[in-house]
Amino acid sequence: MNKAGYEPAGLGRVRTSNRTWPLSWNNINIPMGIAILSSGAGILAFLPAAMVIFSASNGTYEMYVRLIKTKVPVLFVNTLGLMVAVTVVAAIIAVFLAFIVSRTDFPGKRLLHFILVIPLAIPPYIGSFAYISLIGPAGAGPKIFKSLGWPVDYIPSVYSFGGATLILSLCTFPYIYLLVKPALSAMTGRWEEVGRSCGYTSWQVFWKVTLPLVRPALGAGCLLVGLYVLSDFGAVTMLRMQTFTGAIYLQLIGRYDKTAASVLALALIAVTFLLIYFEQKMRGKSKYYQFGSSYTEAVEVVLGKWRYPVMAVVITILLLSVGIPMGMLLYWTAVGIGEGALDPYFWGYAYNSIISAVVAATATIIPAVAIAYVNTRHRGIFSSIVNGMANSSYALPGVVVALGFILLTNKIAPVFYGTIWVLLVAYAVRFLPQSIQAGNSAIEQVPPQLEEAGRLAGYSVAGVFYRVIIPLIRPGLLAGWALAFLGVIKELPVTLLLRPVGFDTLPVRVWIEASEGFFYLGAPGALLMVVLSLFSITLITNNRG
Amino acid sequence: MSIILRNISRVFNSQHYAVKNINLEISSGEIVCFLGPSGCGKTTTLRIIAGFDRPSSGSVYLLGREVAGNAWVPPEKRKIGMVFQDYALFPHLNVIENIAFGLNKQTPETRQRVKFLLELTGLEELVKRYPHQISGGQQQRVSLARALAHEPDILLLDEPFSNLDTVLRQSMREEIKRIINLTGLTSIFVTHDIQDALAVADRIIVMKEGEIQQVGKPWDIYYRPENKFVAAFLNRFALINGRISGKDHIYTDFGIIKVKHFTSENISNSVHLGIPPEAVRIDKGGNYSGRVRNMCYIGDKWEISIETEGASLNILKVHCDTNVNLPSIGERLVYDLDSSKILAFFS
Repeated sequence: MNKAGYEPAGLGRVRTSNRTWPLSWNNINIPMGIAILSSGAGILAFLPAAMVIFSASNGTYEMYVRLIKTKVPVLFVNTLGLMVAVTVVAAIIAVFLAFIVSRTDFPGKRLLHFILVIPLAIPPYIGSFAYISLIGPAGAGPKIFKSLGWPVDYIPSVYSFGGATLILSLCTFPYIYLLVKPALSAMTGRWEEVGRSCGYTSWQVFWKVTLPLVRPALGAGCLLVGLYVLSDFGAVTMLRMQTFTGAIYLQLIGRYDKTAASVLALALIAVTFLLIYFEQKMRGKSKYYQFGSSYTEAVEVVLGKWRYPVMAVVITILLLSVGIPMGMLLYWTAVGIGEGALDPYFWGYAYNSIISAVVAATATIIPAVAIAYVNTRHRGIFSSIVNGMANSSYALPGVVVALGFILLTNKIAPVFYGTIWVLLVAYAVRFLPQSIQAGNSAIEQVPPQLEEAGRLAGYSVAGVFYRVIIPLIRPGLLAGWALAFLGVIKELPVTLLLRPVGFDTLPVRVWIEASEGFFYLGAPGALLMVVLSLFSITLITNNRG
Repeated sequence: MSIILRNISRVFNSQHYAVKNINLEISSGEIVCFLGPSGCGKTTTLRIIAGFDRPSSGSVYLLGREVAGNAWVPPEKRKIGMVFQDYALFPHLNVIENIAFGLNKQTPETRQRVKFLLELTGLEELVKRYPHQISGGQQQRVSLARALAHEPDILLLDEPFSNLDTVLRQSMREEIKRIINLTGLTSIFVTHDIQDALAVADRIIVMKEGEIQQVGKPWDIYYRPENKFVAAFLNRFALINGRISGKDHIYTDFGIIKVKHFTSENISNSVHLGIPPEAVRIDKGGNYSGRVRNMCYIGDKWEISIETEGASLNILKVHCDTNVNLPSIGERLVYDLDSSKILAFFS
């Protein structure tokens, strides 16, 4: 980068042509500190993804043939099948509940809306943990059945496609619900009236009007769930589903074959991009917006005699998604406390989790704000490049990010391999895109006139950034920080692959104890994570306005 | 009768009357306008006719069939077309899909119908556009075409012109009136704009606080408002307090005025006079005098505001269609009043 770029515009040397200098916009230069911070973070975030692709290109022809002939077809079928099944089931549950809460006279719907946030705090691998500890071979269910003399075969298997689909759907449907519910509530009832006035019944109106109009929200929610299933590592490995993430992990841990792992990772990246492309395509060119002035409250659907069947379905969903997981965690925690599970080891894992989450979240939010500032206030070539690089890990499964860092440290700085520093940087890179999002939306809410007023009051660009923007976006920053904190607290695959020897976190312990059947040892940690997650979810929702 | 409303009331929160005891008969092919300020109950009445709201008491009959009251027919069974305020076009459908929305199946007849509507509304060029890609007037036409697509018996329009600028508004009034007349549909539209009502309606129903104030032809409403509220709403009458003396003499602050038209029985001593601009004549031999307060050119004539003499401030308006010999502001002016054009209201 040319040092001249930082000199004030107007000194002929920079403005020899009309071309916009990448680091200045409207004659306002990006402060040096912010430029360095954002471009550094961008490069660091970009390298791992690049390393995976580079390493995959090193694979021999024979290796590609072998993988494509043996592993890839099964993985494709399993991964895509699971993704489609989970997305469909989650979408049905979510739309049903969103409709009940926003459009009907269901009793206690406000309470229901509140409860439906809880599954978000139960990551799928904890849900899986709960179900394995209930109906898995070593779980509580078979024990009870045996003691009662009932045949154990009647218990459905958790280690099945159906089991995995159900557990993942029950843990992920809130992603869709939380997008569809506000869309339904904000949707003017007038459109449904148009449907009625054109001669359609309530049921037809739901299919012809309501559902198409919430399609953007539904599509975005389904994309989140689909991406989640593609990236999920903990739940699928615990439930013994053979998908891409598990296969990549096996190649790394079992065979130490980084190139083969990279080839599989490349295939997974391709599937991820296909999914994103598909969703973009589905959106089409129609623009969704609301007529500001003409909002009318939608007429409440009177459930009448449907009240009790609907109530039964809602209670079943709540039982399966909140009741059973929480119940199992509480039960095994109680058992664990009795057995002395809350030993110094446990507190050590908890300490590791919290400290690494605090450090990583802080290390994420600082460059994220710098990049968000460049994005929103200095749009140009520089910002596009930095933002593009910083978002390279967007939608990348944690396993792939970890793989990238393994490749990177091996190549460039082997001394760092297996240290806490790589792990922290990997956390930051993994959660950078969503923190940038939080930063973008926070800064966009600050009127640029305030900065101009700050400039006229005598502050430099950097001065305005620290004295005007930062104080104004503090709530948004806190939300972004909490989001990254929540991410790290629940993080499993990156931790498993990059942690220093002996550095166990709560997710790692839950994963190990579940596979070994020591549920009472895993449950207290899982419960603690759920509590911490609930805490950060309240932080996030309270600070988003 | 195409539409009959019998003793319709709509009560909210068990005490607030949005609509109070409305009785109305609308004959087939008529264009009727509900006119009034916001909160007068006009939109509620329209929604009761459409079936989006139920009357608390009273009955609605459409084409002789009772649809609300003792019976209940849901909106989709009423054969009604509706143009919504701000049009409510589906943002995910293009123009032709919006128009064809109410046509459940694709048949040669429905395709013919859509083609006919496109021609009728002049939208042939825009079929593939999305609502956000067309202008307000065009959105209005799409909305009208969608309302007509499923061949309703009755057309309802909720504030159809409220979102258009003045120029577009005038042309859309003509356009909508032309299309309604072509289809011959019984139509009701709701507006708070007197000009909309005068230009489009065959009959105007003026409402206030849920009650009908006056029903009449546009010119009746324009020249003969029946009470002070309607006169004030027309925004062209100077309203002046007076006391009645004898049979037809009204004592006002600035003189005695003789009145021929009393809009109701003589019920009290105090009376309000409604003096329209055409009742005032600048005349050197006139009986009244005042001072020129303001002069506005309103297009092909001047509107002169005269501050009358007397203790309280009363302002009369007079129109003057020449540009020569105009008075100047502050000047004393002598004028006369044409008692045949002045109205007296007791309420």
